[in-house]
Amino acid sequence: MMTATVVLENLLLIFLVLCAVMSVRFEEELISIIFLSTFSIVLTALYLLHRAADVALAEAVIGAGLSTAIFMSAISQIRHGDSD
Amino acid sequence: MIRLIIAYFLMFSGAGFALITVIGLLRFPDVYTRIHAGAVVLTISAVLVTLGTAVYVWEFFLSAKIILIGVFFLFSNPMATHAIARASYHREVALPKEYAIDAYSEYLGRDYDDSNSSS
Amino acid sequence: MHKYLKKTLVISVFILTAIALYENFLLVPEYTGLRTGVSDYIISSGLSDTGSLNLITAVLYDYRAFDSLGESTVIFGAVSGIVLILSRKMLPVSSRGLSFIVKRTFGLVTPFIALFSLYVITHGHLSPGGGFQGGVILAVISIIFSIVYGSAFDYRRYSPQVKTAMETMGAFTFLGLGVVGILMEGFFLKNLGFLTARTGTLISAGSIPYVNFGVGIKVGAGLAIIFYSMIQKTFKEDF
Repeated sequence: MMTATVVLENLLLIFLVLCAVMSVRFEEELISIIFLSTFSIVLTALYLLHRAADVALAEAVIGAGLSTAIFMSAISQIRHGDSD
Repeated sequence: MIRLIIAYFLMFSGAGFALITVIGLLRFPDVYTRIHAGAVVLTISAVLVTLGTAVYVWEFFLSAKIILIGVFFLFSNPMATHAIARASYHREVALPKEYAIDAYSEYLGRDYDDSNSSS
Repeated sequence: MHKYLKKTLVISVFILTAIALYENFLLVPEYTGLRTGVSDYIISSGLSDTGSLNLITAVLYDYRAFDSLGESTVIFGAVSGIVLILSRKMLPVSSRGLSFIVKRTFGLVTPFIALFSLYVITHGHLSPGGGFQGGVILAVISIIFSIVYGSAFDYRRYSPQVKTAMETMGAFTFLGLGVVGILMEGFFLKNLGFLTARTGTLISAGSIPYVNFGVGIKVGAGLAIIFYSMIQKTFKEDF
């Protein structure tokens, strides 16, 4: 039982590092935003694994929900906005 | 004991459906077929996993909350898929050249003219 | 002459601030390990001090309530800056929103999102959550209105004036409870002991639920104002 938790935690950590590297490496902004959202969700799972429910709720709501929407609106403004 | 067997069966079948979803996302050729895989199979996968968790916990209020999460999946996943598919059709993402039948564009034709004339 | 006077004044203010900060940091107790010191005190006697079952909320809104006031002020500053830079005109260029199916589904789902956010806010001292998280979920409602129904709908339902009034009301709730703490108990933002009910009920834990409510309204309205002023010129085309 203990080893399963450790294996899951290590897998999530590897995936976290992978998401961070991917979100920096891509040229297109949309893919970077989606990888940041995935990063937040994986981080939420890690917080829940460490029994920190408050931080997990804040991370899920802010990182995966709100900041993705704000980044999307910013990207859309950059692409289609007329700069007057 | 029989309850645990039922719970594990539901959860493992949900995990199997999720695996089928991933294979579909990787193997299908374009956007719309991939969306099809994500919509249909992922919804039943999430609902099965939540049902299995509800049976595993087996306590009235906790199970009711978990089943409410499943009902929320049942609402939200097809709706999000519909929104993505409609947006990618409007932006003309990866449309095929030849159609056998395309009823949706005839339905949308009036919509297109309206938006073009207004802007 | 005048320039040198100004420069010496600025430098002396900086030096005085540095000395004050250094004197303050000398008062901070040393790090004595994970199981002893402040954290051990909070874990052992937090429930009897504050009556809050969720010790994180007890730390955030009772022991370290002044820090939470600082965080709320940071959000207020962010909202002020973004509104000052980004919002040029009040009436937005709105899209017609998404399709009929999405609108109907969100018409069914949105009341439950509001209910969930109120649950997270009001049960902040009993279960995981609190004012900040529930406030962000409140802001998600405004985001849904802006994206799904078009930002003109959001303007008609919850105009920026209403959002500003809500944010001000939340801030005044927080500060007013702090002042009431001075009057009744002797310290700024001290927990009001006479409000405590039986532990585990909804109105237990002194003034923590009311502070939670104020922070929730303030954070939700502030983040909704940020998103509204960012979305004003975008999403012109119909999806």
